[in-house]
Amino acid sequence: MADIALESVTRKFPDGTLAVNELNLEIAEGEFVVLVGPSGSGKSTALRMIAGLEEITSGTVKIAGKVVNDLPPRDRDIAMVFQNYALYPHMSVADNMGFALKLRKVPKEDIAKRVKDAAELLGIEDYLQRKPRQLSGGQRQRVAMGRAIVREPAAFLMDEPLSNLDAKLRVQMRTEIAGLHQRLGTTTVYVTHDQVEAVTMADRVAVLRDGMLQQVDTPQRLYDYPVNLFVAGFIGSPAMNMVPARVTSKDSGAVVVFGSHEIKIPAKRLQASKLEEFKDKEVILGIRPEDFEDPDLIPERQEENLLEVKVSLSETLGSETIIYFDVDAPAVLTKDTMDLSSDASVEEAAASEPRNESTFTARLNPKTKARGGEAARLAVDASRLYFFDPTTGRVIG
Amino acid sequence: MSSTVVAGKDVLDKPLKLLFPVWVVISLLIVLFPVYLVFMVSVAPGSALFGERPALFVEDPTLRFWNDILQRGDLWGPLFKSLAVASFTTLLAIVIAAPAAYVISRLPVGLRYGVVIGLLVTRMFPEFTIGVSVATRFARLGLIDTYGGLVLAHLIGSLPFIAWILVGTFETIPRDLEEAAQIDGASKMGTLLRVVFPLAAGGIAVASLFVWLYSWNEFLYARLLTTNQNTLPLQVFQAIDRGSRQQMATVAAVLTLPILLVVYFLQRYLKPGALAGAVKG
Amino acid sequence: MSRSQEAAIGRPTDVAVPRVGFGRWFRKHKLEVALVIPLVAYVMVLTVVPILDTFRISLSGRAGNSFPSAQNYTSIFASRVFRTAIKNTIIVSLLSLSMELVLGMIVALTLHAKFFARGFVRTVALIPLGVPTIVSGAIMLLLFSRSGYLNSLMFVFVDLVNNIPGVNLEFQALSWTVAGGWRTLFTVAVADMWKVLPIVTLIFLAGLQSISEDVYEAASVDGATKWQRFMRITLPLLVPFITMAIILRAIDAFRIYELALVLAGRIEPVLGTYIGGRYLPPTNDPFTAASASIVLFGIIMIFIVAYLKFVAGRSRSA
Ligand SMILES: Nc1ncnc2c1ncn2[C@@H]1O[C@H](COP(=O)(O)OP(=O)(O)O)[C@@H](O)[C@H]1O
Ligand SMILES: [Mg+2]
Repeated sequence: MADIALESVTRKFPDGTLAVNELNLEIAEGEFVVLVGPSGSGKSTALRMIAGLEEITSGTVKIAGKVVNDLPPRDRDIAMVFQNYALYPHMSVADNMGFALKLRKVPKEDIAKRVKDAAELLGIEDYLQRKPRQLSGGQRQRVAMGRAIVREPAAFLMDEPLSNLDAKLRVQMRTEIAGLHQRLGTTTVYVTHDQVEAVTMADRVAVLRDGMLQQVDTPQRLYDYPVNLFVAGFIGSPAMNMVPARVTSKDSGAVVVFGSHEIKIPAKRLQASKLEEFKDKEVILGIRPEDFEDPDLIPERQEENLLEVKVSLSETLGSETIIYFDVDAPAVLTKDTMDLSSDASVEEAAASEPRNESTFTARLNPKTKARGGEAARLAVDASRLYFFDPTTGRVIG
Repeated sequence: MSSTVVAGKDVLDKPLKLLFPVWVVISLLIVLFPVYLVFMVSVAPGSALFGERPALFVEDPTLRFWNDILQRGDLWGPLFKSLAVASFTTLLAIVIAAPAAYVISRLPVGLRYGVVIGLLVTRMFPEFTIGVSVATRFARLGLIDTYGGLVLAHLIGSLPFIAWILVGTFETIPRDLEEAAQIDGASKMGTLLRVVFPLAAGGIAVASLFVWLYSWNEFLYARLLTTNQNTLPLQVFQAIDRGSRQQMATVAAVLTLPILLVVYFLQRYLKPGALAGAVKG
Repeated sequence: MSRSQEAAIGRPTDVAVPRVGFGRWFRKHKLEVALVIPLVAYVMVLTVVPILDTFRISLSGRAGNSFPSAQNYTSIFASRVFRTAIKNTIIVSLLSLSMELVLGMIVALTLHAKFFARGFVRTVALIPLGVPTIVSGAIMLLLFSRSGYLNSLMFVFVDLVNNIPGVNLEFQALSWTVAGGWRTLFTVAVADMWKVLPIVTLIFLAGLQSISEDVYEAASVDGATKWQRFMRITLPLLVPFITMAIILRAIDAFRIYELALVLAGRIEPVLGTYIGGRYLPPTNDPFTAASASIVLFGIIMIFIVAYLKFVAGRSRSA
């Protein structure tokens, strides 16, 4: 086991692509760190530089305190799980798992024993003599995990190991990998584009965009204290609602106005932040869907902060109800929000005439009576509003 | 469309339907009859061959000519030379071309196609354009009538071809596997020997059969580089030049037999691209 | 490059990156370089250098000191045999090429159709590939000579036809090979065609298999006849395959050697046999052989360039 440190690590491809830009990241011994970000953000490149598969343009990578920049992968004592598993097609499952040990000249009996132990751990002991092509996707994934585990390496590197599995299996393997990590305690760097995977598995999550690290923190703190619009929009599902707004003073205190709506800002919230400086200027207001609620279902009502909305659609999921409603204020179209969306419609929207309307999502208690097509009143937890500087995208706090 | 034709039915339908089986049988005959001839003539007694109307069937087959060439022994030299040259050519072609083909397959796309096209262009030159110089030099180096000289010459035609086929084979092996092997602790050479080449084994086997075939059949370089120790194709030519018809047919049959077998086993690998390089008219 | 420039480039400045990069690149890829070197060296020493050398020989005077001289070229073009050889090469090539294309297309269409025992027929159709070229030459001798089996077959056929009352055909035994002229060249072309028909067929078959059934269904719904479908759909879609077949086959057809040697010998020379005859004993004339082989290469190049330019280029833009 070992700690891993990336210091100003940069990778520039010969074609000029700056895939990873000055990445600083320390991963403690035994820690499970997830690199997350949209596709093309440089996660794989970063991981492959740790593995030694990608050249490091500048900066240093240390494993267990030792600079490994010039070491080939085999001298770095790391194991890797690939997205499409990269199992050797001409070897049996047992040979796949034992290959690294065989290269290290570990005695045959030891190899057999370690392969058997790992296979039992993963529940694949019945397939040891099969070839990879005779296995299902889930079984292959386990073999790939097994190949890494058998090595007892200083660290595991995993590049989207679950992305080729169907949704149900993915959830199951998620818990299994987390369980394995708890049991083995091996330092793990895990790459995924799926923020749900990231927050459910990680000790700490590192959010990347365009090769640049946005924020590293525990999942809870990322959720509670995103540093910018990008992280705020990326972490959390459904995503945070964002809308251009204005903070002004009224007789009753400070309020934030967007479209025809208005929310009172608690005095504490105002004093504790730099929000004062943005008074009467434009800001971007962020409200998590979780912070709306049906006012009739809040046990102890406090100061009223109600929005009158017309519900356009409601989805009843049993444990909660998601409703969608339109707000008469334009959608936020900055680079941050566009990076979040992989589909082209956002860019199209940005290019066309701005519409003075955006859709909000709210996550309500399933007992709510709010239904699609009807008017509803929603309470907002004003202590949990987020404000962002529209020019920099950084949080105002 | 002003057509009297109803979809799916037209004037061509009837004649096609009638003629189709006839045509299939005729084309089978066109293919098979010449091959039949070689084997038939090789067992024909002399009397059956002459006149304006030689018999199409042998009524009293004789193994005299087979016995002759087997016993006289002038078959064994050429047979052995052809076998040895074809086998060494194949072996060397793989040893030289396979590692290079692997590297070429890992080049960036543009460069890769450049190299492959370069290799194929060498095959557009007539063998004579290369052979005149090669034979002159080999004569000076004492390589005429040696196995080594002929192997070297046969490699000229085989290498670009086998390298080209193998580049295609290596391209299908995912790079992930090499990376996995490196992470598992294999050196570059170890990765090649334990992962890449084993996975390419099928392609290498097929490609080497093609090379073997090419060398076994090759006539032109053999003729330029031989004065007395014939290969089988040269022996056939000699029989054509001065032997009897049956002698000619018998040697031709010896040369042809192993190849019919090889082609039979190779048939599912007979892709147009591979063929164009492997078999020449 | 001057010494000071070199030193400047050696310094680790931004400009120096590619140069410094090369040393590192080389150290990192030593193994790869070692793996390609044998092939590259082989192709250089035994293909590229000999080609250049043959070119040099073709320009060398017999006297030795008159390089470069076009003397070899002027003397071969003055030779009637050589000009005949060129003419014959072109005739045989074009003849066998066109027969191969037409027959190859018919056979490919046949094998593409579904019928009883198609697998067997396909295997049989490949047999000529397994027959060594020199053997197919021997076979054609058996077939086409005066007491050859083609005559036997013709007699059988004529006898069969004459069984029909009122028909009375006469057939004279023919000698095809030693006749000289068109008949001999035709024999060579037929021999070449028989040998390589499977290649052409396989290329076309691959092309036919690449055409989706939908296209045909759409066309027959539109009321196209079989012939129209073939002319309007199959043929245009096969153009890349036809181009491939023509180029690959043309290269080989112009170089034809064994078959011409066996079947036409000295009666009707082609460039291959002309070159071989000059180079080998008793003539032993590498100069003539070298210059003729360069001419042969030139003809191949001209054909390919012209084909790509005029035929393939035009049908693509059409
Ligand atoms: N070999 C390469 N050459 C050039 N650009 C590359 C190469 N590999 C990746 N890139 C580019 O680098 C960026 C980051 O890629 P990657 O690390 O694979 O992203 P991710 O894994 O986050 O999806 C992308 O823009 C990608 O196109
Ligand atoms: Mg990736």
